[in-house]
Amino acid sequence: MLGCAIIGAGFMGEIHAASMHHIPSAQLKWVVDKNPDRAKELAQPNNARYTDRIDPVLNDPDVVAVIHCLPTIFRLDFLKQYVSAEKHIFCEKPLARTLTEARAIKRLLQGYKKVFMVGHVVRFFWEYEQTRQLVRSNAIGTPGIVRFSRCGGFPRGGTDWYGDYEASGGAALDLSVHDFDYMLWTFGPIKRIFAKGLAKTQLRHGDYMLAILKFANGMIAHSEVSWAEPLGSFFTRFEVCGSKGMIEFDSRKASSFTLTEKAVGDDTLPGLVVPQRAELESPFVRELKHFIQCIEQKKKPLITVDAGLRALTASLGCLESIQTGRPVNIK
Amino acid sequence: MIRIALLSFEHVHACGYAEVLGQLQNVKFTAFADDNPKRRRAMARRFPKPKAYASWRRLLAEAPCDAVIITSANARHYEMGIAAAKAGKHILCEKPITTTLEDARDLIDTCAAHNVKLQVAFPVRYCAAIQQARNVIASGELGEILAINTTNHGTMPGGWFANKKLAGGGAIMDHTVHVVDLLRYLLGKEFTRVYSESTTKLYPIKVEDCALLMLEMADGPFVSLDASWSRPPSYKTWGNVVLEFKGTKSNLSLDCFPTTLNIYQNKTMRHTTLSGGDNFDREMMAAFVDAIINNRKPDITGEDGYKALEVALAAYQAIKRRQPVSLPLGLGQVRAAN
Repeated sequence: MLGCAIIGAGFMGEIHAASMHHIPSAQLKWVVDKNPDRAKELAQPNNARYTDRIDPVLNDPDVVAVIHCLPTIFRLDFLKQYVSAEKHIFCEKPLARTLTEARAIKRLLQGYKKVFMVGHVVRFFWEYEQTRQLVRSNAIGTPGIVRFSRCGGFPRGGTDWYGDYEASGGAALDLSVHDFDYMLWTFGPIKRIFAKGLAKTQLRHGDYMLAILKFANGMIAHSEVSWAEPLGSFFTRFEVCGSKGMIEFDSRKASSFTLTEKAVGDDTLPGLVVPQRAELESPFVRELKHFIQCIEQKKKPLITVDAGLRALTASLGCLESIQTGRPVNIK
Repeated sequence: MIRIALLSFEHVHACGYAEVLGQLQNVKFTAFADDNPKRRRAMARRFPKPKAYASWRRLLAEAPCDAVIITSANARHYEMGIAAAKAGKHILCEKPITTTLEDARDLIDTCAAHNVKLQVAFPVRYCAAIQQARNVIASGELGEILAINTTNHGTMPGGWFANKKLAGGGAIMDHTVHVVDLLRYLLGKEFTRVYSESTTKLYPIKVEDCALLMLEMADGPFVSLDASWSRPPSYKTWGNVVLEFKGTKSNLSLDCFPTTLNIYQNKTMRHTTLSGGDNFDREMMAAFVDAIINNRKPDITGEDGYKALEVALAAYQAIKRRQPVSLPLGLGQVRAAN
């Protein structure tokens, strides 16, 4: 049994705690959060212990892996401690808030013998994975233009840190990094980015970005990310247009399970919304299973620190382009 | 009664325009010209009443008409337009107005000098959703409009459309102008900056088949526009015109050609779709005729055509420079870039 600890009992921590039930070879041992009541909530259904301190967890020899789910600004300092304690590490996306920090993480992990994986879960969504396979098997010929959208209401996470643009980077970072990781994985390196967004206006509870990307292979891409939809809503859509055909997806038209709430009881803002899906195995479970398997089988994970760095570079390229009004070349 | 002649069936939209001429009560379709003998014979069978000419110049000299429809290849709009204006004919000109700003300016001036109406064919303006959107936007229901995500996708039309000399470009020249005109119409302001990326990946042609534009309007919003010929021949329909607005108070989504009917035919083993209801071409033609009869300014002027063309030309400049280009473009500036 592979002992795990979840660091950060927020929105993603809760999802991963739930996923642990579906992974027979792993067991949740600890949940850590600065708010011990919140940690307790996630720990109890798993019969795990909880704490507001990280040391007892890292000193516990039964804990071989940590699942890091803290807000984006908390990365390097924590990862250093995990590395010192020689734990396998699953780190939520984005890899970091800045390139400097991301590069420092990369240096930290140079020669590190344990598994390090970034949580770019989109790679585990069936429709995205299947589309990549179709593209790679030449089902639609050479892609010329692709469009990816990721749109939802503003995510009111735990401490409302998403609303702090400096901390979260807004949708322009937090959402776009999902699609950029997928695009880089599927279509290869990005050469140039031009983006427009609401970063300058710094809307506290909203963000929106449109970006145009040029890939090294000549393909162009359109990226839309939105925290400007009605609260509580979320959808993704994409299309991949090739020389021999095209693929389109819209989560709003692909749901096998739609539960519609008719009355709203109070005026509190809904939190983060995960698309309603009815699947025997959720993408989040498949993602965590992959991480656990990499530990068990001593494999390199699908999403390395380099992949996390590349996706972050593209998202930060967007923020830079929004600020300067100029296209940004990606190295 | 307004007598109308059509100067060429080169553009695919010509048939649609010719069809609606027969549906309007105060219009007589008197003549058409086409220098392609095969197409001329086919159109003579389809439209038996108007007299068929091999030469549009001869038509202008001989045929009884008050107005002409110019639906030739883009690069030929200019010479036909100038000749028609000089012959005192009102003009409904297919988009883009011309392929250069100099030509557009000259055509606008010549029409004014000869006191003929010049309307550019942007039929989507007459889409009911666009009309309704204009009211909703004017009422302030969206709040401040922050951003707009737009597409005007299509299939690759082939023929002269993919020939830079005749079309003035590729997908950008073909598909930029509609959305640009709609947004100028809906928001009542001008575009100030243009950035673009393009590629040719889908077809063995020498012009761009995929293109994305990022536009800015005065005091916001920013706008992305997908002008690609990205719909494969197997796709269920020709393409779309979609505009999605993000406002501080409301979001608004417009689909000018919604999927009204899904059709599945064993004969073709294909799924196709149709968009229901209104015929924008007929509304546009009726407005053109009305402008002539009532001697008023056309709804869509040569100036509107000029401003739409300017954005398309700026996109080509931006691609060349890999930098955003500011509007308005000086006339000399365009010459230097080409």
